Amino acid sequence: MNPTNEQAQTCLRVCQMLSNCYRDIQLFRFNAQTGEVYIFAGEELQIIVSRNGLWRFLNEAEL
Amino acid sequence: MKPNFEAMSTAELKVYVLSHRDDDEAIRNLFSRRNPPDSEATWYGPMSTPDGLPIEENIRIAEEAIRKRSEIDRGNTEYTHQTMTQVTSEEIAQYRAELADYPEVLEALNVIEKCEGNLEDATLVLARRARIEVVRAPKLLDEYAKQLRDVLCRKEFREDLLNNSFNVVVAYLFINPPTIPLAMITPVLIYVTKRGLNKWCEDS
Repeated sequence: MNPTNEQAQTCLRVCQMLSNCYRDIQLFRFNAQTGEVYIFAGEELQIIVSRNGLWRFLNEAEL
Repeated sequence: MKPNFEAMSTAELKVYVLSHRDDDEAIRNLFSRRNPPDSEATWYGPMSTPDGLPIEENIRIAEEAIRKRSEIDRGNTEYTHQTMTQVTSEEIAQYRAELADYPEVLEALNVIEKCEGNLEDATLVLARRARIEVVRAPKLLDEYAKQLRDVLCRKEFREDLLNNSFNVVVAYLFINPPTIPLAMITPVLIYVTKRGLNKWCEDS
């Protein structure tokens, strides 16, 4: 499975936004099996970017 | 042999993933721990159309969400910095005199001294030497402290520790080896006493 264009665009934007907020990106991984992108930034920020370009935080409990 | 990812705590799994960055199974397991599950989650919209045109409204919403979450996350980072534990040279000298019979303790004290008394930095050095993977020293110290809790909170040891006297506890731990590496006993003992032993024993 390959990443989609919408997914790639969302990833680019998300990473730039994290960078603007001084959050270091510790891990960035496209999972070929699920087709999802996993991003781990800062201390506890985890983001999932799905194939259709939609994205979510792994954990919403802190808000 | 691969560890059992299911059985790992999320903190442990994070540490594992950050030191095995191409282990898709581990990464997938970490990112499968979703709260709430996908069907109930807030999904933010895509930031471009399939042919690459930006969707301004979704970009604005994303910026706002990431800014908010980053602020909270920065708070977590600052908390980590606030929890720095300083050991004075007088304290190091006192521990050295008291625990001269234990080479592992003396070595740990040397490392703490070299790190200018910064216990978290020293913990990272000691962990690296013991081949333990760490991301954040306070988390490791918390985790190890928990494993020693039953011993450290015993009444007979607690009083010594409150007087900053480690001799009896260390002797006990070297005869009854704990689940944590011996090299880590010293930083954990200092950490717990500096945190306030009574409160820690009651809270945890």
